[in-house]
Amino acid sequence: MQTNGNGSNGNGNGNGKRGDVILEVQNVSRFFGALKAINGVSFEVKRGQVFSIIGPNGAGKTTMFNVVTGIYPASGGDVIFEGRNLKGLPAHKVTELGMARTYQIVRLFDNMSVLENTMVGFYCRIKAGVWDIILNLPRAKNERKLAREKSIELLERVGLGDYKDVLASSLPLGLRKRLQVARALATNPKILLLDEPTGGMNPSEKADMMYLIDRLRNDGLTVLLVEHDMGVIMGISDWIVVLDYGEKIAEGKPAEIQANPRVIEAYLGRGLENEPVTD
Amino acid sequence: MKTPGIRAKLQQGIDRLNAHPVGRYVIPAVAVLIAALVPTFIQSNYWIRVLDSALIYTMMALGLNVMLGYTGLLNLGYAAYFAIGAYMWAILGSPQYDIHWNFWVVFFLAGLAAGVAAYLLAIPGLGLKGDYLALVTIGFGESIRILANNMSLTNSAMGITQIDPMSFGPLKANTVQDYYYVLLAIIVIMMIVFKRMENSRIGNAWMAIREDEMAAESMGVDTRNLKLLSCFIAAIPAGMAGVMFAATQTYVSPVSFTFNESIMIVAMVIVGGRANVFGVVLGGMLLMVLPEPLRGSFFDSARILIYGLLLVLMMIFRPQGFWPRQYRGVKKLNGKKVGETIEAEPAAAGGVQS
Repeated sequence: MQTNGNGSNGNGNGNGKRGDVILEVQNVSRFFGALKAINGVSFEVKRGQVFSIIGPNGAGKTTMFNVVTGIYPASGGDVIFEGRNLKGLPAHKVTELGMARTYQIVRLFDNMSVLENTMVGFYCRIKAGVWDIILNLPRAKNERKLAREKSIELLERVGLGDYKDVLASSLPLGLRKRLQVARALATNPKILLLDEPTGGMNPSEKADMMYLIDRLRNDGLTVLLVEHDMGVIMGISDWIVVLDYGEKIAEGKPAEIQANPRVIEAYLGRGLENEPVTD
Repeated sequence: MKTPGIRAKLQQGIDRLNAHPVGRYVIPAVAVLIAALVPTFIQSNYWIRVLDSALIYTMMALGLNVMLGYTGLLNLGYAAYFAIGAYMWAILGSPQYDIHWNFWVVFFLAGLAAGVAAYLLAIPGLGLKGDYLALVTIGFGESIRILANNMSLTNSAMGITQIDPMSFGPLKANTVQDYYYVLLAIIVIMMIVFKRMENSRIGNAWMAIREDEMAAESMGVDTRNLKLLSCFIAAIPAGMAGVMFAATQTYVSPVSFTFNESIMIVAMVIVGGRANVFGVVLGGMLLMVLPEPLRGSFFDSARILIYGLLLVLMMIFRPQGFWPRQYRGVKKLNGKKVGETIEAEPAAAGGVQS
C-alpha cells in the first residue's frame, strides 16, 4: 500500500505538524463571463483545523471548492497545497496529492455496491497494472485484498458496515452522505473538503455527522467545510471565513464571526432604513 | 415481488453457492465440459456452423462490453474493428497476394491493430460525450466499410476469396467442429480475463466513470487515460474475431461489416446484461442462435421484424438485460434489511451519461 505521509488510512497528518499551514489560497478569482463568482479571496488553512467557509447562497463557496480541487481552473491567483502550487494540475492529480472532497448534491456511483464505491477511492493508492490483473499476479491480489479490508474498516467507521453489498442508489440520504465521506477517506487524504455534509439531514443524522467530523479532526485530519447550518458551523469550526458575492468579508473564530456586524448584515440584510432608495 | 420470502431464500442460497468452491469452480467447469461435448450431441454440421458464428459474435460482445458495459461509452461502429481483423487475415493469409503468414501471429497482430485503431480514434473522440461520441463511431464504422469497398488492396466489393483456414503449424483445421473447440477455448479465456478486469481496481474505476465521470475524476481516477485504455482493450477481441471469421468463411467482403452488425453487437450486450460477462455471453449466444430456426421458414422475411419486436419488449419489461450485475438492496431504512436482490438499473437508454 502506498500512502502519502504516514501509513494509516484517514490519519493524514502527513509529514507536517499540527498547526502548520497546509493549504494557502492566495488572491484566487474565478469568473464566469462577467460574473465574478470569486474575486480575490485569500486564506490559510492550518493542519488539523476544522476550517469552515460560510456565506449566503451564491457567495461562491462551492466554486471555491471546485477551484481548490482542480475541477475548474482559477481565473487568477494561486492555490498552494503543502508548498506545492496546484496550478494546471488535473483533479485526479490533486486527489493523489492528498486532497479529497464530497459534493453538496450527493454524487455517488449509483449502480455500484457501497463497497465498490469505497474501493474506487483506493484507485490512486494501488498500482496493479493490466498484466498484474489479467494474470492475477500477487501484486494485484494482495493490493485488492488490502483495499477491500481497508474499505470495510472505513465503512464501519462511518457506520455503513452492514451495508457493504448494497446498491449505492438504494441508500437513504443520510447514509449516502456518509458513503461520500467514506469514499473520500479511501483516497487517504491529508485534507478533506466537505460541501454541506449535513444538508437535508434530520437532527440526529446531523449530530452523527458532527461527531464523525470531530473524530476525524482528533485523528489529525484537516477538514475544510462548507455549510449552511449555523448550529453545525459554530459547534465544530476552529476558524471561519465568510464569503459574500465572491469576496471575503470576514474571518475569525466562531464567537468573533457571530458578533461581526458585516456578517450579520450579509445574512439578515441591512435593515429598511438604510436601503438605498430606488424607483 | 409478491413472495419476498421465497425470493430472499433463493437469493441466500445463490449467495452461499457463489461463496462456496462448488459454485465458484465446479459449476463453471461442468458448464464448460457440457459446452465442449455439444458437438457429440449435435451431429448436424449446419448447427455447429451456427454455433461457430455465434461464438465469434460473442467474442465481440465481450469486447464491446468493456466500453459499453463497464465504461459506459456507446460505440456504434464496432464492426469496423471486426473488419480490420478479417481483412488482415484475408490479405496476409490468402492467394490474393500469395502471402501466407502464420495464423496465430496474425490473430494477435489483428487484435493489436484493432486496439490501436480504436485508441487513435478515441484520442480526438473522447473529447465528445454521449450521443456525439456515438455519431463519431458510426462515421468511423462506415468509413472503414466504404474504404474496403473501394480500395484495390481489399479487392473492393468483390472481396477476397480462398482465405487460408486456421492452422497450428502443419495441422490445418478442416471441420466446423475444430473451429468450435478453438472458439470455445478463446471464449473461456476471455471470460476469465474480463471477469478479472471487472473485479479489479481498473474495472471499478471504469464503472465509476460510467456512473459519474466528474466524481470519478475527483476520487483520483485518471478518467482520460482509463477511457483510452477501455477503448483499446475493447477493440482487441473484435480484431481477433475478425481473423476467426475470415478463416471460417474463407471469404471476406464489405457486406459482412455493415451498420447492422454493429447494432447487433450492441444489442447482445444490452439484452444479455451490461457489465456482466456471463450475461453478455448469454446475450451473444441467444441473439445469434434463436433467429436461426426461422431461417427458410414462412417467417424468414419477418425474421428481422420479430427480432426488433423482441428488443422492444425487452426494453419495456427488462431494460437491465437478462443477467445484469447483481447487488443486495436495502428494503427497510432503519437497520432492518431484507436480502432482496436489486439489479443495477441502466444509467440511460444507451448506457451513456452525457
